[in-house]
Amino acid sequence: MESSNEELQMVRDAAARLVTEATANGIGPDRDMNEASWVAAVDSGWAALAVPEADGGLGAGLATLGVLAEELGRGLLVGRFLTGGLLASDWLAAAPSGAARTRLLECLLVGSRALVAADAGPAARGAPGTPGLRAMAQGGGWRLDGALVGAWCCGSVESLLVAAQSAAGETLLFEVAPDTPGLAMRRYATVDDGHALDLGFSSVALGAATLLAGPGSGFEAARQRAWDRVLLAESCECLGMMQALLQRTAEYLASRKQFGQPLSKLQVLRHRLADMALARYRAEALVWFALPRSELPDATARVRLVAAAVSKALAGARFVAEQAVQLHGGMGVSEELPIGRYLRRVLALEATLGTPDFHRGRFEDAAA
Amino acid sequence: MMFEGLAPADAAFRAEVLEFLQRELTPELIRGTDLHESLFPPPAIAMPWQAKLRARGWLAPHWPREHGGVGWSAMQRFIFETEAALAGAPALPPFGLHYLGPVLVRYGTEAQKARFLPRILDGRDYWCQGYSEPGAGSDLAALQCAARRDGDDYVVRGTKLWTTHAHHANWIFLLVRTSSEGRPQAGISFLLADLRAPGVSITPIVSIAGEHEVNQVFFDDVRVPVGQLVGGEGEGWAIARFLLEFERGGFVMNGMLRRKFARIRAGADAALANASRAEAAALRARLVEVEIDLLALAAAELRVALSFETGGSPGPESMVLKLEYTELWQRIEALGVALLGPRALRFDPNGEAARQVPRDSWADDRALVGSFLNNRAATIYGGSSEIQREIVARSVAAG
Repeated sequence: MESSNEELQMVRDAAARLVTEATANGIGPDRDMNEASWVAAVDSGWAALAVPEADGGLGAGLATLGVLAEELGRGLLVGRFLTGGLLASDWLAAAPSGAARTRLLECLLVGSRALVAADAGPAARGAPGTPGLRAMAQGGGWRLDGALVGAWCCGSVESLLVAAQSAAGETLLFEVAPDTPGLAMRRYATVDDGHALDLGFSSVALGAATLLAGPGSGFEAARQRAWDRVLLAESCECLGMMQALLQRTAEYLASRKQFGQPLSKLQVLRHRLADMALARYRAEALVWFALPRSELPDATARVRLVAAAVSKALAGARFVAEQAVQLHGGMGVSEELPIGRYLRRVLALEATLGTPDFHRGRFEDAAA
Repeated sequence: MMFEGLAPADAAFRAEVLEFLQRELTPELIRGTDLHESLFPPPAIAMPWQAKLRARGWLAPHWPREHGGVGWSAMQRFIFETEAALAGAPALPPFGLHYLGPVLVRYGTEAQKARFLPRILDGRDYWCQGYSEPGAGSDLAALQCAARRDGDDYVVRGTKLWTTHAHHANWIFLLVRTSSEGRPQAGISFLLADLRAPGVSITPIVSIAGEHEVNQVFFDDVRVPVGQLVGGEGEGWAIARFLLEFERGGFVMNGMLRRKFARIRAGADAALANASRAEAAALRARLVEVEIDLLALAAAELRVALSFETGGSPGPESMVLKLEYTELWQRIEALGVALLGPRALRFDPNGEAARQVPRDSWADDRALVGSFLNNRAATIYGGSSEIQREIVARSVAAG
């Protein structure tokens, strides 16, 4: 589903309002909206956005999701429900129909933020990487071994969606309860003021009913496409962060006086600001070009476009955040201002999604 | 990747364009494009292509139909200019078609339109642009070349510098000072002058690429009829700003740059075969970064193209594009020169030595080195990158 410009503007305005209110109401755990604001967001349909219409959701396209992500980025609401939630909902949507699939999608629709989707192993340097788990058929069910790292989580964890590779090299999708024997779950604070999970699977035995997408379901392609959507949504978050940092930095340069004049009178600082704006401009052009083309049937073209966009967005956000810290001087390295928190968010994105170099590598490899 | 998912009408138009290019773009024209060093091919290369486009009815896509333009949509124009340049079509001389044409359409009298527009299209007039002076470069408003009213004429005295292709041109449009009252910008007017008029002299300036492309033009009491004033006296600055938006942003450059990149990329693997791991990795990383930035430029140009209608002005966003394409162009050719290795040593400004060695890569090598040197000017002309950064910074500050 693609939306008209007017509709997108309405989404943008509504999202900007919600983000402003949520920020004013105080930030909840993991730099996400607190419970009251989240209820308002769910009432506005956010939780249902990414879920397909056939499953009771709104089936929003990336243009809409991107606008939302951009506004969240502007307000530095890390919003794991959007990206983690998008991954979970796209994975579930791709699974063959069944009772567990229906139940889990309904959880998302009512606004649960407690589903965690995970696939990256310790060797992964970016997304999408090779699944870190191996699945062996055992008895009537399955046995999972391996490790997953850096899975986004928000608040409590009620259920895990994990991708695992079968002996035949196929990717399968399982639902795993956090208290399953053999599962070690380590939760830790992340550099962007949120939390992530590392998961160790040691001969974790699962019943047949936990298999959401089995052999022959073509889940690997769906997993890759879901990551494409997440990567583009996160690219939009980067655009929003860059916009906020540019505005804050321009205002700071105009108001801060040194040597008897505003800093904005100094050409070297103005030109740095221009370079920051150019980094955002480049990223924005490419991201907004990629969004409507992210459903292209040609997988090579799609991967290259997404990799190009996300590399530009991450590199741009990193540059803009570092320069914003620099131009804010001492205030830039203090927690008094949120400037440094934007930089920390970019670090967290690079650590989980991959650095710009990782995605440039994907761009190059896809053409080979 | 650029044109996947086009609307059916645009896809059909693109097919028509590709068919035309396939048929009309001769190997000589393509070779001419690939072997010249500058943004602007000399008339010997560009004018035959202009004639072919005119015959097809595809000249001046951004002029209104009533003045002989094509009346394409912004998308059609973007498709055509991207595909033509990608296929190796020469760039057309921009001074008449791209700069003066829109100015006359917007500011010219009916008599001026009727007299000058048809002669731009059929190539009888070849224009050049008289803006910079020895004392007025980035600070264009400091220009001193003066036009004094005398009866039905202006009498022009002064000089213009860096005048591209003045030695090929028969006409010049120029900014002159008609008043020294008030702000410097307020006393500037826009004149059209015949270069064959008594008192005009042109001297060549040789560039660091060793070539004669730009000139200094001297006006020694040259009489210009008042009917050749465009707009009113003192309106020159507003017209210049309008024109600069076309100069800086009216172009679609991604096709030309992607062609240059593809030619360099094609030879890269062979060049890197003997490189150390570190050198190969560094050069490959630069190749990928440039390729992604080319995609970003194409996306940005497409966005600008969609943002303005035929006959409109590209707007301030065009400032960013001028900065982007010129810096990217320099990075592409710097990379090309790095890949050449020892083959970058020979210097052969006008390609005379290269023409003695048929079927050698010498001609391509010298064109690359020449272009690298010539295009150091790209980040200086038409608003230097530093001036552009001022404009960008101001737009951020204004929110």
